[in-house]
Amino acid sequence: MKRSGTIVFLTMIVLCSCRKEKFTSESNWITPVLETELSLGDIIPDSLSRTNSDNSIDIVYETSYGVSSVSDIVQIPDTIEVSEVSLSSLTLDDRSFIDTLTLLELYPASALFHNQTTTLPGQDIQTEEGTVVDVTEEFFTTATFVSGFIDITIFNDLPVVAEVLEFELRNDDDKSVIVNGVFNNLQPNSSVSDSYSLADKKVNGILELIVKRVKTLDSDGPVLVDVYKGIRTEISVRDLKPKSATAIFPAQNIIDKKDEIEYYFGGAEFTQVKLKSGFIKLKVESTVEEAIVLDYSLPNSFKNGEPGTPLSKTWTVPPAKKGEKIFVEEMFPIGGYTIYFWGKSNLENPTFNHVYTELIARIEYSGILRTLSLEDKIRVELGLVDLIPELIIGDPGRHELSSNDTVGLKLFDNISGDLSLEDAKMNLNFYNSFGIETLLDVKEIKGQNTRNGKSLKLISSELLNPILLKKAVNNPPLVAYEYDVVLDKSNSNLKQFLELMPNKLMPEIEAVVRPNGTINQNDFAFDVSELLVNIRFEMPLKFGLDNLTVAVNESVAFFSDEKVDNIKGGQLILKLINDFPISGRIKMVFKDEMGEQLFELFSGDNYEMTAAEVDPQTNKTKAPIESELIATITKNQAKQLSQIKSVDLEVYLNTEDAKRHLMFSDYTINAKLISDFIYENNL
Amino acid sequence: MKTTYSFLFLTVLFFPFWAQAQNDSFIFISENSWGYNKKGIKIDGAAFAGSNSLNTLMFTEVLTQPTFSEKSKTAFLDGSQSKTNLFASNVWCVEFYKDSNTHFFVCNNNFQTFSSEKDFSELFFFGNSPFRGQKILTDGLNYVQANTLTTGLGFNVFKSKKLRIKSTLGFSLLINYRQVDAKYLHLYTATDGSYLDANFDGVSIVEANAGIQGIGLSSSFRVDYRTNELNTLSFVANNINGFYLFDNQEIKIDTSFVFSGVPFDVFDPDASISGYLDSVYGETVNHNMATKKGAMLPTQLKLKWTHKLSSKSSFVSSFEAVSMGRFGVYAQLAFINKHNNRLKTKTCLGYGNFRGFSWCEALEYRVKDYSFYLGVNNLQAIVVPTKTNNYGLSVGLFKQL
Repeated sequence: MKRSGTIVFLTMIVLCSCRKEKFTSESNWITPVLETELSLGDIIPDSLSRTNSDNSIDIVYETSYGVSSVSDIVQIPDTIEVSEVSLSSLTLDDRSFIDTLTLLELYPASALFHNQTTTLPGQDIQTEEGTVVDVTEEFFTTATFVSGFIDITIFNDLPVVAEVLEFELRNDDDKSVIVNGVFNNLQPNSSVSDSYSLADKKVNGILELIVKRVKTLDSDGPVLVDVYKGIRTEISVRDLKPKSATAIFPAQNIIDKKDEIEYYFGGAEFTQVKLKSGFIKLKVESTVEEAIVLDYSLPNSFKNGEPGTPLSKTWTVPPAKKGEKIFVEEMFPIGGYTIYFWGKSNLENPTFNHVYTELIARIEYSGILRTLSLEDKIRVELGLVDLIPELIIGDPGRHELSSNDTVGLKLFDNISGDLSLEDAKMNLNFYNSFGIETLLDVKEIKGQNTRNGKSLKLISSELLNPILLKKAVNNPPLVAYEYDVVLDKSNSNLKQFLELMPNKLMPEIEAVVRPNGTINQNDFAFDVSELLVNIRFEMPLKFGLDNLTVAVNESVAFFSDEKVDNIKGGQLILKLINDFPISGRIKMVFKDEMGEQLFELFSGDNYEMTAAEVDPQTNKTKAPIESELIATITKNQAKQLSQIKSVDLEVYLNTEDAKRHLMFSDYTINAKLISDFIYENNL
Repeated sequence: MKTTYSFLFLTVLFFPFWAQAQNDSFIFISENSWGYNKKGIKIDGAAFAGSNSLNTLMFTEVLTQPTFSEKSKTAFLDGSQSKTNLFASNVWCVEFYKDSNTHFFVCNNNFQTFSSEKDFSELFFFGNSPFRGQKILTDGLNYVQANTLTTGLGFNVFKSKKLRIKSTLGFSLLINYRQVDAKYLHLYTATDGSYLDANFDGVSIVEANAGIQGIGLSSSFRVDYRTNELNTLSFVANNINGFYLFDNQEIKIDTSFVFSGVPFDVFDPDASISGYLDSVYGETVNHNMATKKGAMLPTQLKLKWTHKLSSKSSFVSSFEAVSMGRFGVYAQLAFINKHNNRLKTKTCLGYGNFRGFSWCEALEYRVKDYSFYLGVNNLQAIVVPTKTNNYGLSVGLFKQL
């Protein structure tokens, strides 16, 4: 009993706890989904349409083809010059120093006769003691020379003849001899001089001058004795080219370079370029322990609005630390400058494609003691880069070009079927704002409808002969040369050409640049210059349609929500209110992610949008007409809704008996898509 | 809104009180809470579904059929009620009685309740297509669903010959909590479906999250006052609760709009309905979204008068309200009869605005240390399922230790 009672109880618990796996109830929801209003403005963008005073519409389609800028045809290459120099040209100033060996120093006993008139006996004085001479400030601290000279001049201010005078000049620290010599028979109040080479010699700023021997003759009778006068020695250095030196260097140029940069423009010869933008690029690498000043200039140039002010730029490279390198890099903008490409002078050939530049690298007097040597180097990279011309003047050269491009014509995108036009006009506007003559020969303009594979040549008597596009005139302002060719159904097959609804234009055009030469190399091209064929179609929007098809493929994410799986069927209702005298059938082909068709809706003759009736008096429709297209979504189709990733929408448009009707800007199709779905609620 | 018709029963929520056996040792059917003092384990469960307008055939079909039959649906649609109220619950409990003073329990309570104007509920359940050209409104809509798992203990607060006060205190986990309230809603569907005119006033939506959504405390208490040997007055407050929510968002909507379809450009490859709806309506919703930290589930208050007719029979009348009547009021008359020491039965008749007319029968049968309990609601639903609005089943087993 106990057990059976328990079993009964548990069974009841289980039964009561049982819950059916899935109960569903259906609900029927009707809701608007999409609404749209299509006017001609939606189908034909504003840019393609022109509304006339009576609201009728002309289609105006414009496209261009050609060269649109000077930068498309001319590229000015970068030019970088590299200069690497050592200090071989380093110089030190010529300097001199005077030292006097007085009678008192030579013959101390003469002090007894100072300012007395007496007879002086001959003397022969020899000594190894010298006088220390410090010329650090006057000359340098130390220097070793590649070349140079020291001049020794001795003045005899004694009242007696110096029969023998022997001297020696040596460095004070290591007593190394720099120069020595002997002068004989130096008369009173006269001087004698001699030069000595300093090549490969090391000279310090602290020297020792030794007058090793002075032998004098007896005086000719009594003479006035002045013990503060004696042998005066003048030491001069000149033409010094040091190998290395520690000195206060004078201002001097270490690079002085004048160059002509040559450009090549594929046969073109340019004499003048006004720059829209560009840079002087400088890159310096220096081990010199002195500040280097770089002066760069293009003497044959001027700044916009400042004639006579050539392009020049100065940079200062700071002194390098001992044993280290210093780097300087800069891009200096030179937009707005005009550069003459005639080289140094326009009086000497060549007078084109050459740019004259000057570069000076120099040391300025700093008053600071520096140590420089021939090991020190400076490397300079300098040039003109990224030059974009605003104006080029010269001779572009004769060139023959041909074009076989394909130009997309969006006017008839997504449209197929048969179109019957009332009229059409095509204006070919040849436009040249280059200061260069061009001869155009339109060989062929072919239109192709890639959707049906048909193509047709545009034939017109207006295009038989080559067209000479003359130079633009820059007086200023710049006035382009234009030449118009108008094609219509009277002089061409344009109407048939457009009824083909080409989506590709394939012009075959040959051009000769500067066919007749140039005078004084004065052809020009601005950066805003264009050589174009502006193509303009004009068509009154009066047409007849025979199954004209507009096809659009759209990605759709409408059905990605998981709740779509609960839709079990229903209807899609398309309500259309149509102003157009055009009837239409619509087909929607829904596709999955792989582009495979899932199912079609609104397919068949039953789904037709009714055309509005035209009032023959006004040529305009009387009133909009309403159509309701209802497509049933089956249970199987409903199951596929969540797989829909894209829809091919095809609209087939017709006018009654393909009769042509005028279209008006206030025509619209108001479309609303309403879903009436059976929805399954899971409980 | 997904409605889960796992038909449940509210009254078993209060079983801990009824489980106090009297001196005659009946556990499940008793007039009051005096006298039981034995140790034991009780297992019980109950399911109930009731409405004032949905019929029991619909409830049955939810349990046994794949969808509603035309008969049940038509009976609902043809009903003349002005409102649709629905209450459904299921409860199971395991309780251990230590003695007459103390017991421990674990209970799972799953319930849903819904109230709105009847037309609006029809639209809600069956879609707007049948209501083309009509403005369907409701002056109030309330919906709550929740599942709570509670463990706690019950104990005597006061006990005398005339007065007895008992209480329970439990710790609860809140699962699958969802609540929708609206002061006013209307939806007009154009005859051809070309536009919808909707108005949302004072709409608050708390969506359910996965897993445990909150924790809280719940308590109940019962006061029995014996006026004399024959009469006892009782007051019961069940499921007084409060929950802390971990991560729930409350969306508040006060807006009105006419929707005539998503403006769509067939030549725009980026056109997207969901993108449009997100940009137009999503922003409104996001601006009115706030974190909801607390929640209270419906509480039941009940008054009862028990009159002893004889030593074996009693007459019981009661009146109860859930959430102060927001989710229903119910009045009941019951006759309890002890046939012998083994069998006791209860017959009751009642009426409530969330369950309609109700007839219940229950019996408790004792064998040695066991008590068995079976109760059913609305037996007549078997005969006239489209005319009745509720049914329920409750079962129980008690083992004395």
